[in-house]
Amino acid sequence: MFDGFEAFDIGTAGASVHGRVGGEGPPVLLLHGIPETHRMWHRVAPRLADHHTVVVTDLRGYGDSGKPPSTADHEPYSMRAIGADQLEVMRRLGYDTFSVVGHDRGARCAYRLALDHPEAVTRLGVIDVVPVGDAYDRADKDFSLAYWQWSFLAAPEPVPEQFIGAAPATLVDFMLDTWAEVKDAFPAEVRAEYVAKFSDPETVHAICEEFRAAATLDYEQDEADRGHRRIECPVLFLWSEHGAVAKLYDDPLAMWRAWAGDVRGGPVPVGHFIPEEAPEETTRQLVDFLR
Amino acid sequence: MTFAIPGFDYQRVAVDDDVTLNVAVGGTGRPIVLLHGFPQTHVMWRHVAADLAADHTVICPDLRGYGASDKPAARDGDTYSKRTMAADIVTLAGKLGHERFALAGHDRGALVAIRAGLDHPATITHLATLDVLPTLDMWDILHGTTAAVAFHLYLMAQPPGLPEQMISASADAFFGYFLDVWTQSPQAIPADLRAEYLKASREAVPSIIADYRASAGIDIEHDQADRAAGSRLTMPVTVVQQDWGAALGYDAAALWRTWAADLEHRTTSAGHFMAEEAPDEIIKMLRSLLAR
Repeated sequence: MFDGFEAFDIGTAGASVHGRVGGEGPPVLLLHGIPETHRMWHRVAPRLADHHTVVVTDLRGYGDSGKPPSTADHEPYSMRAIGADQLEVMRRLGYDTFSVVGHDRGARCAYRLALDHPEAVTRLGVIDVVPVGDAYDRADKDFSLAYWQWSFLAAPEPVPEQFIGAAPATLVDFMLDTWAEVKDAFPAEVRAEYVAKFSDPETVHAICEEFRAAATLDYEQDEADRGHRRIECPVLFLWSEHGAVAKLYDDPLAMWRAWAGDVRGGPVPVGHFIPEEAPEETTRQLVDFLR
Repeated sequence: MTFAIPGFDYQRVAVDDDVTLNVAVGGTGRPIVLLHGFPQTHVMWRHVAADLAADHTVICPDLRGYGASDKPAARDGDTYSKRTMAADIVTLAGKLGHERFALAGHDRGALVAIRAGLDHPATITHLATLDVLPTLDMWDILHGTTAAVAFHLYLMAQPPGLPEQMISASADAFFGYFLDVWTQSPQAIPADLRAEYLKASREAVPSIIADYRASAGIDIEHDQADRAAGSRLTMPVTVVQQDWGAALGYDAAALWRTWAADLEHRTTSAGHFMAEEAPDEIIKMLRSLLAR
């Protein structure tokens, strides 16, 4: 797993970020989602490394990255703050400009990075999410039932923290098994890693704070940017053909076209965990897009 | 049973093939049935019931799936639909000799009461609901960034498995959270009673979830059918609730008026557990309703 990659821990202004770097070529940063870590890229990263310098990291709060204390407004876990870590990591590795591809929460970090730092982000890949502002603006009962974890994880402290602390594997297994369609998408070793990281109370609290920030600061920042800031680089959007995005939005590409001029992509016939369920298709799409 | 309503008689009454309800009955006079909510039992009515029993027959059951009533395994959405739970109450009152009765419900009990009023208009003479929105409206209002205040609705609406496992693993923390956070007067629920509510809820996890799950499915269908047919509550109705309209940005009285023609809509400064936090206010409200 990640043969030829080198592990690093880089201290940023706000946290330490754990990750790996490998390969050669134009740099691309890959960001994971919930309930995962950078390991989710284990099938894609080595293939992509034939064409690119590939950086995979754990988001602030997740995996082996730092979990700084939060504040009442959840600002340390806003995607703006989480994205700033990643920008700093790439600069420290020597890349002032780079492509970024995110899955799930990582995609939220990636697009926030592209909006906040257009000078740095040359290409943006977003997998199976629409912007949080649009998601909440259009939210109805069906949305909130499908995305029940948004209300659960954003519920007041310490409720979700306590719940997950009592049964971390229950939640991780539910997310992996319910949102994936491909049965062997998660090798035992990878699943065990996800559960182990989710068993750390500090990680769980950080993740809850990240969801609380999503419902407040991230939402407000999207709303503030709407009609003012745009994503200036090309965008690739992949989504699960049968998942919540496909069910909730008639024209998923249009959701991103409202934010960016150059948007391409399409549905992939697997579940939510596209890079793990369809690694070859994901790699093919990314290689084409990042060329 | 540690807690009982003083002076009330306790019975078990069969309301369905496999469902017997625990019910406290006291007083004499015109009948009124009081339905409790989540995460509680009929004991939440102790102050109100004692007062009303001076001149009414007061009937306080534990709902199907709660307290000391039976908790049948959910065969499908129907087992804990509000329609089924309302039919339990009509059957219960009938078996106690009351073909018509007034009905007041708090929280989940209010959802059962609304459904009883819609399904059995000739049976329910007066209707009071405490701190709830009709199911359809609740889902219309509580979503998106507002959903976090109602995360339990979304958690318990998930398919069988996850909510049962997670809530069972943290039952006291889960139920205790609501008892603590939803009140404005913590002393209204003393520690020993809080412990009793927690025990009752801990022993009812699957059926409580089934009740909530029904509200994300079959109960909505029933509400929608009534709305499409123009069915409304025809008896005098009193709604008392916290000022959710101001908190969440909607016109609560207007919303209720679409469901009830003869409506008195009140807000209270008491917390969610208003029958225990402000019993005098609730008693006055109920007596005023019964005089209409």
